[in-house]
Amino acid sequence: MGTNVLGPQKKMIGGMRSRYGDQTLAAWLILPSILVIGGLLIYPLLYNIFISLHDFDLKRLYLGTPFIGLKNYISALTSNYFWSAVGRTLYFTIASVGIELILGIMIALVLNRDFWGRDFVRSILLLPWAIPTVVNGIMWKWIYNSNYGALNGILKQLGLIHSYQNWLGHPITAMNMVILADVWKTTPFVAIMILAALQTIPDSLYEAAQIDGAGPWQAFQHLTLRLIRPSILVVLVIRTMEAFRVFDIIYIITRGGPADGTQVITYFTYNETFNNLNFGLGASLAYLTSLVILVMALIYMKLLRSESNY
Amino acid sequence: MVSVSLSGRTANKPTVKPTSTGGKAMRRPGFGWKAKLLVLISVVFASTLLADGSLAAAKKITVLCESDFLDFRMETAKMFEQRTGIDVEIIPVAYDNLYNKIVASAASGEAAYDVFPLDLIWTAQFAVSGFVEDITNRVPEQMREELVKASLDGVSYKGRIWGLPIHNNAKFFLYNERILKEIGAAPPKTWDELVSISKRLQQAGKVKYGTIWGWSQSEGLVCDYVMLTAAFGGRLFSADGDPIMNTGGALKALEFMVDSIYKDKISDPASITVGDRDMLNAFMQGDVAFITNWSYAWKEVNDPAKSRVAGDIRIGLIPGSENTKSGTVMGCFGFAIAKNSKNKDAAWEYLKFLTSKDVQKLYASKYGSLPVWQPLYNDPELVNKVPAIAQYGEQMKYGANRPSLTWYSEFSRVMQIELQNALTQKKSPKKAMDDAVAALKALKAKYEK
Repeated sequence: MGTNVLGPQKKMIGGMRSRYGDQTLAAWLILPSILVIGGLLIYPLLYNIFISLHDFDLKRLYLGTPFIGLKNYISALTSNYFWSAVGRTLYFTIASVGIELILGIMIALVLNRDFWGRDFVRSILLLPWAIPTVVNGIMWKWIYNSNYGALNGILKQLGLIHSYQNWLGHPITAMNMVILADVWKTTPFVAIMILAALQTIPDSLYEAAQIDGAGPWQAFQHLTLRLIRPSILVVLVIRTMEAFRVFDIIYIITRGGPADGTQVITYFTYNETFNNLNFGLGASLAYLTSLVILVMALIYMKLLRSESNY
Repeated sequence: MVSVSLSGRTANKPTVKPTSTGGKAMRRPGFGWKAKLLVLISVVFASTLLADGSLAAAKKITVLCESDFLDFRMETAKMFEQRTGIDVEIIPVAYDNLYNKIVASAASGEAAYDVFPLDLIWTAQFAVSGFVEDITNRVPEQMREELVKASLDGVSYKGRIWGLPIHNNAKFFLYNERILKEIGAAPPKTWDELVSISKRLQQAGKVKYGTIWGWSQSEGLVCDYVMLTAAFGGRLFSADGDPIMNTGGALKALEFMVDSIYKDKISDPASITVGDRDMLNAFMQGDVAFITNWSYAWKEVNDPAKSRVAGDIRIGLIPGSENTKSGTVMGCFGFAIAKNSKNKDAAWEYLKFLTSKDVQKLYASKYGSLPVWQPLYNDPELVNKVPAIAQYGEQMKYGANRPSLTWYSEFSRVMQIELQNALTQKKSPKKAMDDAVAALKALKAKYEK
């Protein structure tokens, strides 16, 4: 009975196959995605190059949009605003990723131990990471509030400060406060990635190390750190690129202020494009940023490749 | 369900020899069926999109607006729908986000909004950039004569009209009368008086700080600076249009701002980080005695649900200095029709409706806005209902405008950075304004060739 049912089906399928070969069908099914990716990714990328080579300033459209070669790139690279924004971005990236990595590894090591309530701690650890960046930004903005903020309240009650501080009122402290907010949100991600790597290390290796006379620090240094190095690299790649493109948390907490103290490269680009309406300069800035990230990606990829050989 | 019964059958049939073909045979009908469904879904989806678009074009307009006065906007939208049958979709956003939304919508080919706000500082730029429809020919002669001149100027550039004024605005001085009475002080007439009264209030423990401002790196900072410059009898630009804020009253204004935080300690240091909407919270908590704010604030501070000081607040003239009685900054607001809108006639009807005298009366009497028609300031019925309207009228006599520049956004950005450099004590006020003048001269040379 079963074969009776299957028989005609098979024939029909054979017919379908000759009319629509696997390749053709696949092409048709992929076509919509190609159209979407082409329209949303490739076309804008190419158009962006076009804009970046023209004097595309909406405030001066009466001058038209003449081709000006690399002038936008040159004016970006010779602008003080640009280089100080790059400096701030590097500071943000190095500080936030560095702290996140150290904290993340420490947390992962603790969570890799056996203790009562470990599963519970592991799941609430993910909470900050699950909070959308915008919500996180608004939350920290309130925590830092100089009149009603929780940070001031706690520090004062602990006697660590004698009067309420204006955390976001000074360019340098404001930047550090934004970094703290970012660290709070993203450390769990690092911790979970490292934790996953830690769990792949078999206990027997530690036993062997112990028998060979290695102390806990030596075991960590020569065994744990070595074995989780690929994961650390992956986290580093993802996090540096993300941190270099940081925008939303700054937009919410400080809007680039005070006195441009938190004006990172993406915020600078956004300002030039959507506030000053200089789309040409904005496009070239976007490409310069992409270039830096591309270089970073290439370096990391090389590192990762040599890592996998090891 | 289907796949479950099929796989069950394969498992029970050991006679089907080649498992690979068997597997394919099992999958194939599902594949074709899914592909067909996919096509069907996309066709249905696409057609609903098309239908939705064409239907919506006929009798619906999308209006972007600031979130202040939201109740008024909802009420009038309903009135407009009843009168004309045109649906209005209101999209409210905070003032600081308006500009970006407008630019993003206007710079793209597709209009996300048919109507959007026109702040007087945007008019020149939007007109030059081709974001807004020139409505000069739609505005009747009589309307041009009766509108408040400052309001009409706010939506005009180079003799053409780019929008209709919706409300007049200026910064007003609000003070907490109850707190002042407790120490027997009269409202200050000059900023020096305000400093000394604030010090007395702080010493008596009545308030945390005398005043708070919205001096975060945003447009509100520039507004306050223009206001204080007017109050100190200064000017930002010379008659020839050259920047001169490093001299005279303009420099004094900035020195006052910096001193009020660090020397006299009467301004809440939080002023540097809050915007001109957030700062209202401290005032509504009774933590400060004086503020300046836009006309919308009157209703907010008197709302018992939000404000602890409802009923204690009075409107006064913004303090002046030795040689000026007062000074404020104007903030006329209009609505414009998007150049890329497909519903321009419906949008025009909406603009006309909001500007009409009966709506303006409702706006003023129920929501505390300032009408855009000159005759309404003497309208007995309105003055009777809103006694403050006379005070508003008096304050606006001392109004200063922000400069009308096609490169206003760059001007504002330079000013925001340099003012904050002084306010965070990175630079002295003189040095900050010297640098501002140098930067503005370069911009002027670039944009006003």
